[in-house]
Amino acid sequence: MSVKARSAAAQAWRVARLVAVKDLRVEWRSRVVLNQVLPFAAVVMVMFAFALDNTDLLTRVAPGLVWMATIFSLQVLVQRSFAIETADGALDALQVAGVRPGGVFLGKSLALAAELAVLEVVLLGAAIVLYRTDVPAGRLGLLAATYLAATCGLAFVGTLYGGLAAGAKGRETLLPLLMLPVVAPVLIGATRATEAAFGTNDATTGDGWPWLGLLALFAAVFGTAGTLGFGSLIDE
Amino acid sequence: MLAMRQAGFVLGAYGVSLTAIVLYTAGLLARARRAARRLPGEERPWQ
Amino acid sequence: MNTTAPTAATDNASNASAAAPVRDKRPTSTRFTQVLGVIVLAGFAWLVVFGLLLSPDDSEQRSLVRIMYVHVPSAWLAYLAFVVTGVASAAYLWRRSRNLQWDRLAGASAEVGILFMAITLVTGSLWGRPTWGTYWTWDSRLTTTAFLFVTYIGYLAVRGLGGSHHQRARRSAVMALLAVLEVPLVHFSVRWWRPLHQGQTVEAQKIDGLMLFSLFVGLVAFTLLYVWLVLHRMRVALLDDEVDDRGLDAALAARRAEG
Repeated sequence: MSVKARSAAAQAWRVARLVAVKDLRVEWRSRVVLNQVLPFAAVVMVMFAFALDNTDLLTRVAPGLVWMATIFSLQVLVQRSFAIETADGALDALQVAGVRPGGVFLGKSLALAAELAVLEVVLLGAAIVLYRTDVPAGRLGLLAATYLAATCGLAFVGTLYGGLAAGAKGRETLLPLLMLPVVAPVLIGATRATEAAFGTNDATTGDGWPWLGLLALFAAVFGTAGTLGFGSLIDE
Repeated sequence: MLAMRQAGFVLGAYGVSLTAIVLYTAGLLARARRAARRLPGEERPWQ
Repeated sequence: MNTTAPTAATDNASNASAAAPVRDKRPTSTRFTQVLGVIVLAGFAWLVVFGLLLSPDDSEQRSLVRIMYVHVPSAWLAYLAFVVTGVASAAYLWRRSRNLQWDRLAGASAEVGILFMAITLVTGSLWGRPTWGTYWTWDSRLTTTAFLFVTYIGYLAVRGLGGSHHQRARRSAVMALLAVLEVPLVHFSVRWWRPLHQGQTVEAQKIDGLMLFSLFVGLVAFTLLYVWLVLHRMRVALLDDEVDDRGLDAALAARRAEG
C-alpha cells in the first residue's frame, strides 16, 4: 500500500470513529433506542407468540422469529439514524466540508451495529424466556460468530439504503421496500445458523458453519459496496 | 372436463399477458401525448 | 436562457399547434417504430395462431404446454431487460460524459422488464396450478424471480424520488448495480435453503418441431416488442425531462419578472 493510500485509509477510519462516537452519543442522550425501539422489539416478540399460539411450535421457529424481530427493528433504527442527519442538513454539511463519504458510511454502520447488538441481546433473552429456547454452552462460539457477521451485514445494508432514502420525500415508506428484499439472504442464513447454534430441529453445528460463510460474504460485499458507493447515493 | 379446465388456464394465461401488454402500451402512448402537449414546437432528436 | 422565454414559448405554441397536430398525436413514433410496431402486431397474431391453434398438445403436459410459448419468452426477455439495466447503469457511471441517455435506457428497460416479469409470474402460476397442483412452490428459481421483481419495483420507486436528472441518474445507477450484487446472493441462499429442485420445465423434454417453432415465434415477438417499448419509453422519458426543465425555466423567468 502506498503512503498516500495509507493516509487516506487512516483518514477515513478517523472519520468513521468520529461519526460512530457522535451517533452513539446522540443516541445515549436521547435514549430513543432504549425507550422506543427495545420495547417495540419486545412487543413484536409477544405478538409472534399470540399469532402462533403453540409453545412447541414457538420453540421450533424461535430462531426465525428472533431475526424477523431484529429486521423489523432495523427499519426503525435506520430511520432514526438518518433522521438525526437530515434534520438540520448535517449530511450535506459533511459533504460540503469534504469529509470522505466512505468514512461516514463506516462510522454510521458501526454505530448502527452497536445499537443492533444491544437489541439482539435483549431479543435473545426474550427468546429464552418467552419461547423456551435454550442455548447449549458448547455452541456459543457459533452463535457469537453468526451474530457478529449478521449484524455487520444488516448494519451495512441499513446504512446504505438509509442514506439513499435520506432527504427524499416518502422515504419512510420506501425504506422497507428497498431493504427487505436485500436482507433476505441474512434472514435465511442467520436463521439457519442460529438454529444450528440452538440445536433446533436436531440441527448440528456442522449445519451452521456454511451459513456463517454466506453471512460473512454478504457483509463483505455490502461493506465494500457501501464504502465505495455511499458518496454517489447521498450527494444531493 | 379436464381438457376444459386446462383450456381455461391456457386462455387465461394468454388473456392476462396480452391485456397487460395492451394496457401498458396504451398508458405509454398517453403519457407521450401528455408530455408532448406541454412541449409544443420542441425539437425532438428522433424526428 | 433569456428573459423573453415565456413570450417566445407562447409564440411557438400557437405556431406549432397549427403546424403539427399530427406530430403531437404520436409524438414518440418514427417511421422505424411504426414499421416495427406493425411487425410486432403481426408477430403476436402469429404467436396466438401457432400457440393456441397450430401447435400440437404435449404428450405429458397436454394443452398446458401452450402457456410456455408466452411464459418462456417473457421470462427470457425479462432477464435480458434487467441485464440491459445493469449494463446501461454501469455505462452511465463509467463514462465521464454522464450521458443521460444511458440512464433513460436503464429506466426504460427496467420498467419493461417488470411488465414481462409480471407476465412470467402470472403465466407460471397458471401453468403450475394444474401441473403441480399449486400456484406457487418455494423453488429457488421462482423465489429468486420474485425477489428480482420486488427489487426492480424498488428501483423504479427510487427513480421517482425526484431531484435533478443527474442526481436521479446517479442514485438509480448505484441502485441498479447494488441489485446486480444482491441477486446472486439471494439466488444462492435460496438454493441452499431449498436444495430439492422441482423438475425442469419445458426445456428438458422432447420437443416437437412445431412446438419449437411456436416457441421461436414467441421469442421473436417478445424481443421485437421489447425493442419497441424501450424505444418509446426512452423517448417519453426524454420528453418528461424536458417538461421538468421547462417548468424550472418558466419558474425562474417568472421570478425574474417579479424583479
